[in-house]
Amino acid sequence: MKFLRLIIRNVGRNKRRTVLTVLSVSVSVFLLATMLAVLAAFGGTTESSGGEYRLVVRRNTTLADAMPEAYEQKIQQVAGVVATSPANWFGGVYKEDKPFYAFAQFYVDPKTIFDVHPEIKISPEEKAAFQQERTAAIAGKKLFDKYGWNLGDVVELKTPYFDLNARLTLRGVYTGPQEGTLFFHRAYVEEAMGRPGIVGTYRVRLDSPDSAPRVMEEIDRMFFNSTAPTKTETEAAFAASFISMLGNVKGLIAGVGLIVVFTITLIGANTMAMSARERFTEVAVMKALGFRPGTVWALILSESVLIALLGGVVGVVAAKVIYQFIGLGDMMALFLQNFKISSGTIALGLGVSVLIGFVSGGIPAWTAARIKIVDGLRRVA
Amino acid sequence: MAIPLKYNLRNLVVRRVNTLMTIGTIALVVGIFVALMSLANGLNIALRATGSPENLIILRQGSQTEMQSGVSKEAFQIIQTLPGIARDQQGNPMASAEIAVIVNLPRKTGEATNVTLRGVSETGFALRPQVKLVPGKGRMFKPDVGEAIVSQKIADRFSGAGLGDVVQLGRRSLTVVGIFDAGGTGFDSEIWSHVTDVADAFDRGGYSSVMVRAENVATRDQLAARIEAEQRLKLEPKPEIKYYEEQTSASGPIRGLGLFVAVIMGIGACFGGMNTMYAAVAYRTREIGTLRALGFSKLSILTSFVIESMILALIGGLVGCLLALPVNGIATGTMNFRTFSELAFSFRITPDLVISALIFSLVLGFIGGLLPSRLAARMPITKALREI
Repeated sequence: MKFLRLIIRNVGRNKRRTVLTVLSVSVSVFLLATMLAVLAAFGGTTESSGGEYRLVVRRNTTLADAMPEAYEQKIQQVAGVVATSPANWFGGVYKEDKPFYAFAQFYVDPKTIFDVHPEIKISPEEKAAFQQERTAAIAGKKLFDKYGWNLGDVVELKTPYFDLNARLTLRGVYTGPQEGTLFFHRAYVEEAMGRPGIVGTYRVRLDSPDSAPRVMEEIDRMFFNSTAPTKTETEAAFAASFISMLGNVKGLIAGVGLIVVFTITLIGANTMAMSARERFTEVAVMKALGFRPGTVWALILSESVLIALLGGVVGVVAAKVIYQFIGLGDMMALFLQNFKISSGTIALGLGVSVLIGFVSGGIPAWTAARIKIVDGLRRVA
Repeated sequence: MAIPLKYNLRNLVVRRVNTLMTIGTIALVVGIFVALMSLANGLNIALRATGSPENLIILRQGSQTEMQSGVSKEAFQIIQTLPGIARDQQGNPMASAEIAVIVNLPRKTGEATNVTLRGVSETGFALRPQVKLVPGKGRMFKPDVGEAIVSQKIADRFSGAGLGDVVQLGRRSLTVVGIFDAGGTGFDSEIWSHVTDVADAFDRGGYSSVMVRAENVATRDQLAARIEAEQRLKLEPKPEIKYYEEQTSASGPIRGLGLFVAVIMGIGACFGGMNTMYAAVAYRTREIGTLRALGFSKLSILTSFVIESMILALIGGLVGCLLALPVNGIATGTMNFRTFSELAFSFRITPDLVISALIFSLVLGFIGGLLPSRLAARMPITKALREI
């Protein structure tokens, strides 16, 4: 620790170089943190919204196929089921068919949806207003902010699927871990379609996460021999199945992340090699004074780790701040409602930058530690 | 007067460790840019190649995809009687009523995804000459007996979809009797069966869409106008080319990811490059002084260093393209957001992409080299020469 001042002095010696290196490491760590957070969001960490208490029942074929309404009562009778609610995806187009205007829309049972999703927080007045009016809708605060909506505004959603333009009045704002969804009445669509009784998914709330495997099996067995067999999954698995349809996205992002790490290592190694070379004579003098090769090695390595760590800190702080205020692209936000820079991501980002410091400083430090005093002193600097 | 290029090249060789590491950094950035963009490229190429110029796809008004559309049997009858439709050798109109449905199949890696099952008639093959059975891999399906043919790409990437396998689709099980190849088009991601089998399996009374061929490209739009004007139909014809062109928006997220990664990594690489160039200027302070004393102008010095930086970056860019080259042709698949079903395609590195990658690397070299070169050019001669 007594050499700390020396290390800091060395870091500050060529300020321009240090700043450039820190910046280049930090933008790379920023990118890395983004990738890590995307991967974490793919991992289906729905725990923040109580997802481990929920199952999703759907047809065993595709989501385009539906189940009869009568299933709900049968599902409710399974031991361990606390509440159920039907929810259908409504692929409506708001304003324009562009990613900016894309958000999740579900038509649901306006009463039971709150039993299944207790994490949706809404004032009792707004909740009552939503439940009373057949054309009412509620949406997350994030959506209100994004499109500048106010309570009482009419939102029109066009859908090519069933020749229906839904005209909905916003009656409530909810807050919660996922604020990117609009909910409206199931009865509204059912009536307009004229073919009632079609349910895309049932959301099921459990008494405890431990009952999930048993309940899943019981529900699927119950409908196995019917005309509409089901597939019941945990909410996390249900979310993950969408991501897997995109192909090997995890592999792609992990690959990008890996290359980012390589690149930062190279940039760091380049800087440290330049610094170490410039100090050839200086290191020889230190060794002549009696510094041991191990100490010289540790000094240069610490410098490298310090620079990388500085870059890492700047990178993760930037990621945290930028994503807090700006948010992801619109397309991404639809799929990655859980996207955030968690403390785990921050820790991992910093850990990787320290590791990069070690790897990139390793060879230059080792070369410096091994120089012969005579060579170093003889060289005309 | 310009400083000879040889001076820059030799300098790059002298500082080979720095040079190699900088080249490596730029190569990685350019390589990842090329790889991601080739993914987006492959997707677009597959979709663009899918449509034939004379074909019209007829959907219900307002439908964006076949899966959302519906065409009644009566409407199909009316369409067939319209003038302007090409005729086959037997004199029958080249119009194919088809049903497209989404089925869920497991990939070989385990996860299930949506695949398009298309019910076609014999005319459907005539309208899409690019769809051919792979010789030696089975035969054409027969109608009404529960047979299907599967594209080579689907057979390779999905489990239980190979020749001889029985696939449970809707209420029916279909036996795979043949493997087809659609020449890298969107049909390479589909399973085909006879339209009556698909109608039966999915309990469909009508069709999803009708594909017709106009007599030639010039009369295509007239035919389209005729269909649109037919009040009884309420259908919307669209050139097949345009229909698939619209689906290329599916590559948007990949393209976005590619640009995002490239820009951010590019900034990082620029800073790294600046470091290298600043060091290069610092090592050569005396040389710069000498060059100036010999009469080379400030502008020559500036140009020389910027060029050196750009050469460095260009080599990096070339190496990056080479690094990315092995991904060319790798088959993969993603979900098409329009149809919500699998679209199989291959990474495609095109000459355009290589050129834009090299331009990208030159831009990196220029930006990274500009400030250090300015420093070099502004150095006072006396001070530079005195430097040890």
